[in-house]
Amino acid sequence: MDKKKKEREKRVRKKTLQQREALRKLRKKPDHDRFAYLSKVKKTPKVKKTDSALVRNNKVLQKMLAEYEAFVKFREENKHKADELYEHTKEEQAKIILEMEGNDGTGDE
Amino acid sequence: MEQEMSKEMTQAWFEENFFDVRKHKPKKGQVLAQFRAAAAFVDGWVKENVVTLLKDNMAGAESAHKVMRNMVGAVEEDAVKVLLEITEDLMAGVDVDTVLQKEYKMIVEYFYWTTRECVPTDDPHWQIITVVEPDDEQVKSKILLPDGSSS
Repeated sequence: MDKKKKEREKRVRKKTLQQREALRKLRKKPDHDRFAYLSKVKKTPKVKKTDSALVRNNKVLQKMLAEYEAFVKFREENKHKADELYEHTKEEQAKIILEMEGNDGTGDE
Repeated sequence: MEQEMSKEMTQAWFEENFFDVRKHKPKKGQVLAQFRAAAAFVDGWVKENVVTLLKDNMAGAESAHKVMRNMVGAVEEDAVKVLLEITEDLMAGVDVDTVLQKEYKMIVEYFYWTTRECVPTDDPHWQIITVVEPDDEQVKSKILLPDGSSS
Protein backbone atom coordinates (compact mmCIF):
# COMPACT_ATOMS: atom_id res chain seq x y z
CA MET A 1 0.00 0.00 0.00
CA ASP A 2 2.86 2.30 0.99
CA LYS A 3 4.66 1.52 -2.24
CA LYS A 4 1.60 2.45 -4.28
CA LYS A 5 1.22 5.71 -2.40
CA LYS A 6 4.85 6.60 -2.99
CA GLU A 7 4.58 5.86 -6.69
CA ARG A 8 1.50 8.06 -6.95
CA GLU A 9 3.27 10.93 -5.18
CA LYS A 10 6.23 10.53 -7.51
CA ARG A 11 3.94 10.70 -10.54
CA VAL A 12 2.16 13.79 -9.23
CA ARG A 13 5.49 15.53 -8.49
CA LYS A 14 6.76 14.73 -11.98
CA LYS A 15 3.60 16.09 -13.58
CA THR A 16 3.77 19.27 -11.49
CA LEU A 17 7.37 19.83 -12.55
CA GLN A 18 6.44 19.33 -16.20
CA GLN A 19 3.56 21.79 -15.88
CA ARG A 20 5.81 24.37 -14.20
CA GLU A 21 8.38 23.97 -17.00
CA ALA A 22 5.68 24.43 -19.66
CA LEU A 23 4.41 27.56 -17.91
CA ARG A 24 7.95 28.96 -17.64
CA LYS A 25 8.43 28.48 -21.38
CA LEU A 26 5.13 30.22 -22.09
CA ARG A 27 6.09 33.22 -19.96
CA LYS A 28 9.46 33.56 -21.74
CA LYS A 29 9.87 36.87 -23.55
CA PRO A 30 8.84 36.57 -27.23
CA ASP A 31 11.36 37.31 -29.95
CA HIS A 32 10.33 40.92 -30.62
CA ASP A 33 13.26 41.76 -32.85
CA ARG A 34 12.69 39.07 -35.42
CA PHE A 35 8.93 39.45 -35.65
CA ALA A 36 8.71 43.16 -34.86
CA TYR A 37 6.68 43.78 -38.01
CA LEU A 38 3.82 41.70 -36.59
CA SER A 39 3.15 44.43 -34.03
CA LYS A 40 2.46 46.81 -36.93
CA VAL A 41 -0.18 44.63 -38.58
CA LYS A 42 -3.39 46.60 -39.00
CA LYS A 43 -6.50 45.24 -37.35
CA THR A 44 -8.20 42.49 -39.30
CA PRO A 45 -11.59 40.93 -38.53
CA LYS A 46 -11.44 37.97 -36.15
CA VAL A 47 -12.34 34.51 -37.43
CA LYS A 48 -15.36 33.11 -35.60
CA LYS A 49 -16.27 29.46 -35.22
CA THR A 50 -19.66 30.12 -36.77
CA ASP A 51 -18.21 31.65 -39.94
CA SER A 52 -18.78 29.78 -43.19
CA ALA A 53 -15.69 28.50 -45.04
CA LEU A 54 -15.82 31.37 -47.53
CA VAL A 55 -16.10 34.09 -44.86
CA ARG A 56 -13.39 32.46 -42.76
CA ASN A 57 -11.03 32.18 -45.75
CA ASN A 58 -11.68 35.81 -46.68
CA LYS A 59 -10.76 36.95 -43.16
CA VAL A 60 -7.63 34.77 -43.13
CA LEU A 61 -6.54 36.20 -46.49
CA GLN A 62 -7.09 39.75 -45.25
CA LYS A 63 -4.85 38.96 -42.30
CA MET A 64 -2.21 37.39 -44.59
CA LEU A 65 -2.15 40.49 -46.80
CA ALA A 66 -1.94 42.83 -43.80
CA GLU A 67 0.99 40.81 -42.39
CA TYR A 68 2.78 40.83 -45.73
CA GLU A 69 2.32 44.59 -46.17
CA ALA A 70 3.60 45.21 -42.64
CA PHE A 71 6.59 42.99 -43.35
CA VAL A 72 7.42 44.86 -46.59
CA LYS A 73 7.17 48.21 -44.77
CA PHE A 74 9.36 46.94 -41.93
CA ARG A 75 11.93 45.61 -44.41
CA GLU A 76 12.05 48.97 -46.21
CA GLU A 77 12.46 50.83 -42.92
CA ASN A 78 15.30 48.54 -41.86
CA LYS A 79 16.99 48.14 -45.24
CA HIS A 80 19.97 50.24 -44.19
CA LYS A 81 20.69 47.80 -41.35
CA ALA A 82 20.87 44.90 -43.82
CA ASP A 83 23.08 46.94 -46.17
CA GLU A 84 25.42 47.82 -43.31
CA LEU A 85 25.82 44.13 -42.56
CA TYR A 86 27.51 43.48 -45.91
CA GLU A 87 30.28 45.91 -45.01
CA HIS A 88 31.43 43.61 -42.20
CA THR A 89 33.22 40.27 -42.15
CA LYS A 90 31.18 37.13 -41.51
CA GLU A 91 32.31 36.98 -37.86
CA GLU A 92 31.31 40.61 -37.30
CA GLN A 93 27.98 39.97 -39.01
CA ALA A 94 27.25 37.07 -36.65
CA LYS A 95 28.10 39.29 -33.67
CA ILE A 96 25.84 42.11 -34.89
CA ILE A 97 22.95 39.69 -35.52
CA LEU A 98 23.31 38.26 -32.01
CA GLU A 99 23.39 41.78 -30.53
CA MET A 100 20.30 42.76 -32.52
CA GLU A 101 18.54 39.72 -31.11
CA GLY A 102 19.42 40.81 -27.59
CA ASN A 103 22.14 38.23 -27.08
CA ASP A 104 25.75 39.30 -26.65
CA GLY A 105 27.10 35.81 -27.26
CA THR A 106 27.99 35.19 -23.62
CA GLY A 107 24.93 33.05 -23.07
CA ASP A 108 23.24 35.64 -20.85
CA GLU A 109 20.21 37.34 -22.37
CA MET B 1 20.26 39.48 -81.88
CA GLU B 2 16.73 39.27 -80.49
CA GLN B 3 15.63 37.18 -83.45
CA GLU B 4 18.61 34.87 -82.94
CA MET B 5 17.69 34.40 -79.30
CA SER B 6 14.02 33.63 -80.02
CA LYS B 7 15.10 31.17 -82.69
CA GLU B 8 17.40 29.44 -80.23
CA MET B 9 14.87 29.31 -77.40
CA THR B 10 12.86 26.32 -78.48
CA GLN B 11 11.08 24.04 -76.01
CA ALA B 12 13.71 21.33 -76.39
CA TRP B 13 16.62 23.75 -75.96
CA PHE B 14 14.95 25.27 -72.89
CA GLU B 15 14.40 21.89 -71.25
CA GLU B 16 17.99 20.94 -71.96
CA ASN B 17 19.47 24.08 -70.40
CA PHE B 18 17.04 25.32 -67.75
CA PHE B 19 16.39 23.27 -64.60
CA ASP B 20 13.46 24.14 -62.35
CA VAL B 21 14.70 24.78 -58.79
CA ARG B 22 11.69 22.88 -57.40
CA LYS B 23 12.91 19.66 -59.01
CA HIS B 24 16.68 20.05 -59.41
CA LYS B 25 19.73 20.84 -57.32
CA PRO B 26 22.41 23.17 -58.68
CA LYS B 27 25.37 21.75 -60.54
CA LYS B 28 28.85 23.18 -60.73
CA GLY B 29 28.99 26.40 -62.76
CA GLN B 30 25.25 27.01 -62.76
CA VAL B 31 23.64 30.29 -61.75
CA LEU B 32 20.12 31.06 -60.53
CA ALA B 33 17.98 32.67 -63.23
CA GLN B 34 14.67 34.34 -62.44
CA PHE B 35 11.87 34.70 -64.99
CA ARG B 36 9.18 37.24 -64.07
CA ALA B 37 6.15 38.18 -66.15
CA ALA B 38 2.60 39.51 -65.91
CA ALA B 39 -0.01 36.78 -66.29
CA ALA B 40 -3.72 36.11 -65.88
CA PHE B 41 -5.22 33.39 -63.68
CA VAL B 42 -7.56 31.79 -66.22
CA ASP B 43 -10.02 28.90 -66.19
CA GLY B 44 -8.51 25.44 -65.71
CA TRP B 45 -8.39 22.58 -63.23
CA VAL B 46 -6.06 24.51 -60.92
CA LYS B 47 -8.46 27.45 -60.73
CA GLU B 48 -11.42 25.11 -60.21
CA ASN B 49 -9.61 23.49 -57.28
CA VAL B 50 -8.62 26.84 -55.80
CA VAL B 51 -12.22 28.12 -55.98
CA THR B 52 -13.51 24.89 -54.37
CA LEU B 53 -10.93 25.20 -51.59
CA LEU B 54 -11.91 28.79 -50.86
CA LYS B 55 -15.63 28.08 -51.03
CA ASP B 56 -15.94 24.81 -49.13
CA ASN B 57 -12.79 24.11 -47.14
CA MET B 58 -12.32 25.50 -43.61
CA ALA B 59 -8.54 25.62 -44.14
CA GLY B 60 -8.90 26.59 -47.79
CA ALA B 61 -7.09 29.95 -47.59
CA GLU B 62 -3.81 28.39 -46.48
CA SER B 63 -4.01 25.50 -48.99
CA ALA B 64 -5.01 27.77 -51.88
CA HIS B 65 -2.15 30.15 -50.98
CA LYS B 66 0.31 27.24 -51.23
CA VAL B 67 -1.14 26.24 -54.62
CA MET B 68 -0.78 29.83 -55.89
CA ARG B 69 2.82 30.03 -54.71
CA ASN B 70 4.11 26.55 -55.57
CA MET B 71 2.08 25.50 -58.60
CA VAL B 72 0.97 28.73 -60.26
CA GLY B 73 4.18 30.60 -59.39
CA ALA B 74 2.49 33.85 -58.32
CA VAL B 75 4.57 36.30 -56.29
CA GLU B 76 3.74 36.45 -52.58
CA GLU B 77 1.68 39.66 -52.76
CA ASP B 78 -0.37 38.60 -55.80
CA ALA B 79 -0.86 35.07 -54.47
CA VAL B 80 -2.85 36.60 -51.60
CA LYS B 81 -4.44 39.46 -53.58
CA VAL B 82 -5.88 37.19 -56.30
CA LEU B 83 -7.37 34.83 -53.68
CA LEU B 84 -8.80 37.76 -51.77
CA GLU B 85 -10.36 39.10 -54.96
CA ILE B 86 -11.90 35.68 -55.68
CA THR B 87 -13.40 35.39 -52.17
CA GLU B 88 -14.74 38.95 -52.37
CA ASP B 89 -16.38 38.20 -55.74
CA LEU B 90 -17.95 35.02 -54.36
CA MET B 91 -19.16 36.83 -51.23
CA ALA B 92 -20.69 39.55 -53.40
CA GLY B 93 -22.86 36.89 -55.02
CA VAL B 94 -20.97 36.32 -58.28
CA ASP B 95 -21.57 32.72 -59.39
CA VAL B 96 -18.73 30.21 -59.63
CA ASP B 97 -18.82 29.96 -63.43
CA THR B 98 -18.36 33.72 -63.81
CA VAL B 99 -15.45 33.63 -61.36
CA LEU B 100 -13.87 30.78 -63.33
CA GLN B 101 -14.22 32.76 -66.57
CA LYS B 102 -12.92 36.02 -65.08
CA GLU B 103 -9.21 36.73 -65.59
CA TYR B 104 -7.36 37.75 -62.45
CA LYS B 105 -4.15 39.65 -63.19
CA MET B 106 -0.99 38.72 -61.31
CA ILE B 107 2.79 38.56 -61.59
CA VAL B 108 4.40 35.15 -61.79
CA GLU B 109 8.01 34.24 -61.19
CA TYR B 110 9.95 31.05 -61.84
CA PHE B 111 13.50 30.13 -60.89
CA TYR B 112 15.88 27.95 -62.88
CA TRP B 113 19.41 26.64 -62.50
CA THR B 114 21.26 27.32 -65.73
CA THR B 115 24.56 28.53 -67.13
CA ARG B 116 25.21 32.27 -67.28
CA GLU B 117 25.44 32.23 -71.11
CA CYS B 118 21.92 30.81 -71.50
CA VAL B 119 20.18 33.69 -69.67
CA PRO B 120 18.90 36.29 -72.19
CA THR B 121 20.59 39.62 -71.47
CA ASP B 122 18.33 41.82 -73.60
CA ASP B 123 15.05 40.57 -72.13
CA PRO B 124 13.67 42.40 -69.05
CA HIS B 125 11.82 39.23 -67.98
CA TRP B 126 15.09 37.51 -67.12
CA GLN B 127 17.46 38.26 -64.28
CA ILE B 128 20.47 36.49 -62.80
CA ILE B 129 20.52 36.13 -59.04
CA THR B 130 23.96 35.80 -57.51
CA VAL B 131 24.13 33.10 -54.88
CA VAL B 132 26.86 32.47 -52.33
CA GLU B 133 29.43 29.91 -53.51
CA PRO B 134 27.65 29.26 -56.83
CA ASP B 135 30.40 26.95 -58.02
CA ASP B 136 29.83 24.49 -55.22
CA GLU B 137 27.89 21.37 -56.09
CA GLN B 138 25.34 22.31 -53.49
CA VAL B 139 24.63 25.72 -52.08
CA LYS B 140 25.57 25.47 -48.43
CA SER B 141 24.96 27.85 -45.59
CA LYS B 142 27.01 28.15 -42.47
CA ILE B 143 26.22 29.80 -39.18
CA LEU B 144 29.34 31.44 -37.85
CA LEU B 145 29.54 31.92 -34.11
CA PRO B 146 31.31 34.93 -32.54
CA ASP B 147 34.15 32.75 -31.26
CA GLY B 148 35.03 31.84 -34.85
CA SER B 149 33.59 28.33 -34.79
CA SER B 150 30.81 27.30 -37.14
CA SER B 151 27.79 25.08 -36.80
